[in-house]
Formats: sequence, structure tokens, C-alpha cells
Amino acid sequence: MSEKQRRDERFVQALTAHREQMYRVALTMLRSPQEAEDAVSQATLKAYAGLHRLRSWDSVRPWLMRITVNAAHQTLRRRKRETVYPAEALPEPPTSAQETPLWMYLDTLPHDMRVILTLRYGENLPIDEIAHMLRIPRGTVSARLTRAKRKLAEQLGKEP
Amino acid sequence: MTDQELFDLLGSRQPQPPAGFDARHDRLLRRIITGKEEKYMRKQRLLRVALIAALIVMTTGAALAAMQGFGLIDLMKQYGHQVEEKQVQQWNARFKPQTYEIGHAKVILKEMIADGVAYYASADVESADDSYLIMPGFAELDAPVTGTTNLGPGKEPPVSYRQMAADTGNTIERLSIYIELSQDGESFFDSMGRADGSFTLITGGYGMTDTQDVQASLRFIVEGMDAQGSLIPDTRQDVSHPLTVPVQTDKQVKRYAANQAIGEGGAMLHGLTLTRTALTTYADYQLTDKGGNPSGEGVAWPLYLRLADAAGTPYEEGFTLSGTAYRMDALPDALQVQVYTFTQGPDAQVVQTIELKAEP
Repeated sequence: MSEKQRRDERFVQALTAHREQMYRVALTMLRSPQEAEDAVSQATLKAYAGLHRLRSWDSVRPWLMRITVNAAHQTLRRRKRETVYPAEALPEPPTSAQETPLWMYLDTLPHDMRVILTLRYGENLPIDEIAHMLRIPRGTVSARLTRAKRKLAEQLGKEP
Repeated sequence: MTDQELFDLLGSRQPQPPAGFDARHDRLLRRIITGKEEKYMRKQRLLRVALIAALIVMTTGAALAAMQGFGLIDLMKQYGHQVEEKQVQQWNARFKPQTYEIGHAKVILKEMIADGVAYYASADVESADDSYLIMPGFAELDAPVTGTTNLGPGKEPPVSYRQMAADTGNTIERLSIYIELSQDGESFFDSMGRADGSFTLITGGYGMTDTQDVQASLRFIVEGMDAQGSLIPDTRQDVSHPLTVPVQTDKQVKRYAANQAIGEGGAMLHGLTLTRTALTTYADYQLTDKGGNPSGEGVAWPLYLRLADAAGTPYEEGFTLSGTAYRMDALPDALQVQVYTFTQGPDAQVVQTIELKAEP
């Protein structure tokens, strides 16, 4: 097997393993299933074109996530400003009575708060990795998380 | 609300990709590794080389940039974008380089231009104290000091910030710079580092609507860091300075109505707005997906859109580091939207043509 074949094989393995999480990250930012899938496709192309810059396969997941975030940011910039999609454009919320209110409240939070809560608690990503993906200082991630949690708690304390 | 409660609640929110996602992505992967995406890759490589070349020229001048006259305008020329000399002089006259000291860093914001849709800025950063090594806020400890963050390392043997700090015994200071035009702000998105540890930051933002000079904020956050990447307590500084962003106000806008399907999947093109500024011509497509929701140009993926003149000759891409832009001498009264298969690269056959006329 040639070096290129080995590299391609690992690339396909990595993308296959992480594409669903790439999709969820893009969906969190874009709130459009179609655009989220586009972002994953764009990120895949860019990742392959920039594969020589990957220093270690051990860090392939944060690297792919960062490229995905960049692709989603490009889409957001193209829109000029975030479009609030109607609820029917989003995946179906859980039906549990306990969880449904959180969905409702989470979707009312500002973009940056929603994204950071989902990355931290929905995707279980460490703060370092979120800072790397979003290109903001770790302190900013922590501060936004604190504000987002406070806001969510405030919202949950009220009647919908 | 505890962290565990949030993990429990949000961890259960795992939306699944739409039907056929895996199969479509598998096909894309097959096309990539069998070389059928080669044209696209080649285009990306050429663009990368062009941008690296532009940035190298830009930063080898670093402190000499102003004297040599090289900067963002030259970066635009590297993209093939023609800029009127008179306009260049006007821009240069309206922004004066500004020097700031924050922590142990010296920052020269050397360029700032805006055309009412996008803005671009560059800044030179160096250590003001020999015992400190300044690192861009979005870089990692193991990132190479030389070369660009997004576009790859330079020609020199790569030395990481961690290694350089260990070799010199310097303390690392991480510096983030934000130009805050709105609540969210925009951070510098790339840097070109030099072997002495100094670097040039380049940033761009998109989505301005202001037509007059903007009173913005230039925010610096600096934090000391040890060689393991841990922040050093009590070293954080967060400082903001007022910044006037000079906006070029000459904008022309034309709108083109349409009510046409894109492909056969239910995507619709409702219209197009072109905004011609001093820098470029921005295209803003009004598109919806099959559910009627606003969408981007990938709405009928892998079909994609490009603009051509009324005779069918595609417009060249205009200068932009985000969004979609074309090179146009004037806003046309009639043009075409050409639909092609993106994954076949720039030479792909046009599968659909939509004629548009400017609204009166």
C-alpha cells in the first residue's frame, strides 16, 4: 500500500467516524439541516486539501471540528446576519415532558450562547477544544458559558 | 442548574443527519480519493499559493510596509482586483496607523479600510520586552511560530511557540485582538509569523450596513501562559480603545427579481441583490430550500450558482475574504445565473441558466 493510499484510508476512517458530530456542530450554528450538510461537504473538501497541515492523527477530531466551524462561519457571513429558522426546519424535539421545555428555551437564547452550551454539554467538548474551534480565548469560553447558563436558568425559571 | 444536569439534558439532544447523509458523504469521499475532485483541489491549491505569496510579500516588508506602500490594497491586486489610484490615496489619507501597548506587546494597527459591506485590517505585533514571547490569541502552543495559522507553515524548519519559549526562557503572552463593530465583534482570522517571534495579524469582517464612518472599539485581551499552556493568575488584561473606522460611502445597489426553481429538489431563487462598492461587487442571492426556509448558495447541493453577463460569459470572482463577490465594471441591467455542479470544479458544464433583469 502506498503512502497516499494509507493516508487516504485514514482520512476516510476519520471522516466516517466524525461526520455526524461535524454535522451536529454545523447544525447548531446554522440551524438549517441543508446548510449544515453543505458545511460538512465543504469542510471535507477543505480538510483533504489541507491534509498536509494535520500534524498528528491524534488531533484529527479538533482539527476537523475547527474546519467545520470555519465552513459554517462562511455560510453565516454569506447570510450577512443570522436568519431565525422556523421550528419546523429543526429536527424534532424530544417528546419527554422534562426535556421539551429545555429545547424551547435553548432555541430562544442568542446565537453565541446556544452554540457554546451545545458544544460544551451537548457534544461534551472540553473548553480548550471549544476555544480552539471558535478561535476565542479560553477565558471567553468560560465567561460565555457562565452567562449562557445563567440566562438559561433564568429562562427555565419562568413560564414559557 | 448543575453541570451534570446540563450534560444529561443537552447530551440527549443528538439530532441525526437527514436521510441519505452517509451515502452522499461516502460518494464525496470516494470522489475525493479517486481524484475526481482534483480540479477543485487544484483551484484551492492555486488560491492558497497566491494568498501565501501575497502575505509573504506583505509581511517581509513588515515594519517597512508603509514605506514600501504594500498592504491590503496590494493583497487585493494579488487577487486580480483593480483599484483606482485615486481611491487608494483617499483610503490612505483617512486612516493613520496607530500604536498600542498592552501587556508586554506592542501593536501597530497599520491599515483599516471598509466599504460599507466588509472591512479589512492589518496589524503588526512584536514583543516590547525581550523576556516575553507574544502568541496570537487563536494559535496553539504547538503551532509553528513562522508561517500563517490558516495557510500552513513557512519554509523555515518549524519551531513551535512552546519550543521557542523553552529555548529562550521567555514567558508566553497570548494576545487576542478584536475589532468590535457589533455586539459579537470579529477576531483576527490569520497571522503571518516571523522567526523573531513578531507577526502580522490580518482580519476581515462582513455584513456592515453602515454608510458613514463607524465608531467601533478595538479590544485587546492579554494573558500570561506557562510552557504547559496554563494561564498565569493575575496576568489577564482586557483593554478597549475607541476606533474610528473610515467607511467608503460610494455604493450602488441593483435588485434583480426571479421566481425560478434551482434543480429539481424544490429550491427556489427569488431574487438577487448586487452591491457595487469601491472595493468590489457583492452578490446576495435570495434563496429558499424545499421547505421555504432562507438558504445559502449551496441550497441545491451539489448544484451551485455563479453569475455571468447577458451573453453568458461568467464574471471573474471579486476581492473578498468572505461572502460572494464578482469583478464588474458597472452593475448590468441584464445578467445570467448559471447553475453548475460544484463538485465538478470550475470547468463544470452549466446545467441550467436563469436570465435576470434589473428592477426599475
